[in-house]
Amino acid sequence: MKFDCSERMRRYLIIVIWFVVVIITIECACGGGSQTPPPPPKSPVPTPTVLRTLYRVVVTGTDRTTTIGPNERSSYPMEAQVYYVPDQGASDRTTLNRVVNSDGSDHADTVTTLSGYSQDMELGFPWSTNSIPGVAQLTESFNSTIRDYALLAPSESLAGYVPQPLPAYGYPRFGNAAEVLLSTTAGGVTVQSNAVAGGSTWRWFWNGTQFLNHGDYGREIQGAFYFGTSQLNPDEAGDFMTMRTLDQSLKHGSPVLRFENQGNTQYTRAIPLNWDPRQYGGDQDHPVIWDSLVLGKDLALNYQNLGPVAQYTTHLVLPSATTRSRTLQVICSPASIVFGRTMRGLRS
Amino acid sequence: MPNGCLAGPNDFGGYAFFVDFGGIIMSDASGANAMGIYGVSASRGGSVSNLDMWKFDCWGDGPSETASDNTAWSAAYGNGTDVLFPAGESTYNVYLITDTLQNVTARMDDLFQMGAR
Repeated sequence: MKFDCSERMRRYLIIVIWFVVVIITIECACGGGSQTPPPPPKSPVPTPTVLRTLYRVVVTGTDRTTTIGPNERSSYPMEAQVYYVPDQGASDRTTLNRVVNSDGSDHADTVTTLSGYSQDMELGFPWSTNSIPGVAQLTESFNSTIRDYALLAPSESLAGYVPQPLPAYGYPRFGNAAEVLLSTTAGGVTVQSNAVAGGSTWRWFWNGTQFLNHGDYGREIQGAFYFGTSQLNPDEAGDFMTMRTLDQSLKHGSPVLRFENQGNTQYTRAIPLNWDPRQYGGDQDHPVIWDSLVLGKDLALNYQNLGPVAQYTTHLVLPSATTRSRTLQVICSPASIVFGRTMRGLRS
Repeated sequence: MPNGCLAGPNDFGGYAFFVDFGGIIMSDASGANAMGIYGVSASRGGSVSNLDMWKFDCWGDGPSETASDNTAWSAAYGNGTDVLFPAGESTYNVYLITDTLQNVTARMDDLFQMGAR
């Protein structure tokens, strides 16, 4: 089994934190005149939300069907990851059901009823309104020629299918696209950020060389935050269940709030997923989102007309102040900065 | 710098350090292609508590952009108890530079002279 560098980095940070504390203690002891401050108050940690991934599979060749969990997505051809919706019901949520017609030839999705169809399974609990930042209206579509209903992500269009939006909202995903890129160039540098992975910085070109690694969603250039321990770890790009060998429709990228260029500056914001969803009962079909946090960047190329110098500003939004935390910017480069050559030395 | 993959079970081969003004430069052997990160310590008005770097030359699967092998950096703010992260929005700056090794060094000097934070 291959080892994820990001997991190692996070484990290593525990050692780094210990090291920092030791250094500060020594400095205080040598200073002689400083007073020990009172311990900081314990800070409230917001509660993340467990989500379900809605997938679209194809049953019997033409019946595009929404599903959840591992059984059907493993049994039928997987076509797309379409939305994240909450795993549990609440007063501001509705119930999304899958229904099936009488001869079993078509499945559809509804929050009410559909004439000629009966209940098949409960899919999840999308929000009833768009009051949650980052959500989009679920788009059920109907193909009258083949009489097939299908749930489509906002970025998708399928020939012959006419949208029939549902009164339900979830975080939009990107079908089976691995990349939805936003590119900007200035000062001899071109950067590309990827909306599928929380808008994180995906590629960085200078003089024909691409510098960044995106082997999973713990790499790239991105921000991360820690609520005191490595388990409470919102990540800008997504979670660790994103290794390159995994089907793209199974990967968990963080939903995007903002994704745009203005002049030489690229602005991206994400609602971060927890790096390890298992810490909150999640798994490959259940990402866990910190829906009261935002992580993102302003990336200003050609900073102060210095050419290939960029100012990288991490933006963090927290619902309440905290001291038992740290944030960091992670950059993963390929092992060799120049493709096709062997790295013989690393200078620092 | 030690290879993190060759280190022991509780040693990941990383390297962490503190500077008031400075950063990390990674380069190929010729110095023709380099990438640097520059930051200023929190005590000097910047956003960096410490810089960290790792080398994971573990699998030998080449230098492609999706390879498992990689090198990594981080610029961290806060160590768990020492700073207040406010409610609402806050921002943290570093500077990224790609050029020859010589020019990345020169641009870091420029940033220092300019008082970039």
